[in-house]
Amino acid sequence: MVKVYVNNNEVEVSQDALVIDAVEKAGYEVPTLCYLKGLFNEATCRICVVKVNGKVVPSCRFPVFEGARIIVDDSELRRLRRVNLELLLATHEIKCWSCVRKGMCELLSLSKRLGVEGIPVCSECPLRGRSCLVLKGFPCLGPLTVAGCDAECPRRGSPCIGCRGYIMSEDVWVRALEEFYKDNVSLNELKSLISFFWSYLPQNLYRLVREVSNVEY
Amino acid sequence: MSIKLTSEVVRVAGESEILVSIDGERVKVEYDSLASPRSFESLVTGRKYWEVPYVVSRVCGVCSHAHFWASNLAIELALGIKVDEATSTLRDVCNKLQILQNHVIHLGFLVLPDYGYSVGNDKYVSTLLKVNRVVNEALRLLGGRLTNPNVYVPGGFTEDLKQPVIKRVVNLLGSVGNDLRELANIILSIELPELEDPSPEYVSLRNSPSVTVPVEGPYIIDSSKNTYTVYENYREIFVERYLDLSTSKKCLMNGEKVFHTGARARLINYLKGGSGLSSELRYLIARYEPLFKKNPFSNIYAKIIESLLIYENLLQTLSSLDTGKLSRVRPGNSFSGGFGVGVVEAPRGLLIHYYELNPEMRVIKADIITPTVMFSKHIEVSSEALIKGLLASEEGRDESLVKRFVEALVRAYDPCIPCAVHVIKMKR
Repeated sequence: MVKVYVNNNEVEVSQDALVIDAVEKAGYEVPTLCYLKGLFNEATCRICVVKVNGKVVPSCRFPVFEGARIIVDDSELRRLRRVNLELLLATHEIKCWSCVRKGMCELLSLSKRLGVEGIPVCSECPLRGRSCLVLKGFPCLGPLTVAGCDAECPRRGSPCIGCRGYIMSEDVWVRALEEFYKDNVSLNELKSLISFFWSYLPQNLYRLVREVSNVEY
Repeated sequence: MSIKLTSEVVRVAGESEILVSIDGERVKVEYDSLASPRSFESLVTGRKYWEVPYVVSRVCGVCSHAHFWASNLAIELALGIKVDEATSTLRDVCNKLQILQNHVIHLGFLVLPDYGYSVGNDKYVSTLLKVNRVVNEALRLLGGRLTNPNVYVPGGFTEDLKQPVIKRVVNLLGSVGNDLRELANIILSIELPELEDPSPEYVSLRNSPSVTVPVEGPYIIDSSKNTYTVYENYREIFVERYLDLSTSKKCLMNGEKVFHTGARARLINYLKGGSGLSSELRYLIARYEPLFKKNPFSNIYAKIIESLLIYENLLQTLSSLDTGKLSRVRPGNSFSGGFGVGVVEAPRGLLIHYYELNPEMRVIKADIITPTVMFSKHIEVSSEALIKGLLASEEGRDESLVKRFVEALVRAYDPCIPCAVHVIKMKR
């Protein structure tokens, strides 16, 4: 057995334990994504980072040692976790409107927890699938709006009007406009709804809407 | 004696200022807004018909349901859509819930401190918060969200409201009956300052607030002496005037009469024809009616009595409501353009929305007249009368006393500056 200190609380864990085990034993929780206890601890996502004796390490991979001083949460760790999640989202093909995970999305819950804005309202929408408002012809802004409201409007049959702000990623806009909206809704109406809360879109998104809708915006 | 007073009125919705100039016997009061222009009429111009209610409900957080409903009504009339009875009843219920919430919060947090009640008093503040919480939850269940509703749109409701939801709302409301009565006892025990209403003209929709199904245009509006049938002629009856030195609009009846609208006006007109009221409430209204007609401060009494009336009415309506027949009507494809007017009773009084649509169903012209625009002139004339009365007495010559009384009077009216969308900042 070795003695370690998690946020200054002393805990005893077995010699071959990992830092994440010590953290759990001390009663703290560290956010994880790729880690599956006993099955997978390759430290690929780097969301579970903690500080051990001042050094940032992935807690799911790093072994404990006698007298290790572990810090589970501070502003630097939160920033690092956010950056890591943003990097993951940048390479993730976000198409929540046609995703099969039906709300059981770990990326979504992690984004909400860490305050990362990259996942659209569709990820929370129970209408996704056959009852989707966009598929019915309503210009719902769910695919372009930052999630976190639990899809309060689409949930009750009323299209999303984008009050939580737009997703910055150009890829998401391209996919939504070209693969989803184009065949289902009038882009003219969509353009009008976009101007409801987002009158001042960044240049690149502004150009996209103009190119796809083929009308002055 | 010559006094010039400028006072920013606190504890009202929005930023406003009252200017008092006393020169010997002459008293002049100007009530102005300090809010910047919001131009909602321009914001909706060019928008598709279904987007309009979402935009205009954001005129006011306190009476978003009234704006939402009035715009829905105007657009439906323009498009020739007729919604079923259950739909209009439910919209009315949402509006009434918000009237109840507005009255309770206004009286508790904005008015009572004027009469020596401290907001630090745990007992009555917890009562207020309880009523507020219950109404919020009921509004969320029926209207979709606490403010800025999203469930009822032009043509009907976007989702089916099941009977258990209605039952839950009834249960929720049932839990605050005693709290409301307790609050009524506190409010009705307040001693009001003396004041004679200089312009006893009271305007409200017929039979409001007990009317459960909205009148579809033309609307019948009762004033103290006349009855008006209002539709496209609303601009001739409610004439908005720009005043010199002030960019805020003031609305006058037929262009000349200063009038009041709101809880006091509704109750005075209600006794003329309202029915379906318990004897207790009828007695209460009849007892205070002479005071309502006389004293503008009695708007405070009117608000709490109206809250009791609305509470009773809501329970009756919801218990007998059948939501099984909710249907949604969509506008037909052949539309050659037209206009519609929506008139509802918002928490603070009459609210008028007007929209003109082109054949593409986009708004080409919009107009909104809010209650605060209607009664802000009444605030001025009442304040003048109040100051004249104060000056007649010896202690009334104290500047701080004048200021205190005038501010209390403004608060009794419950003006809502962000609502008065026309009002723009004035330069002096």
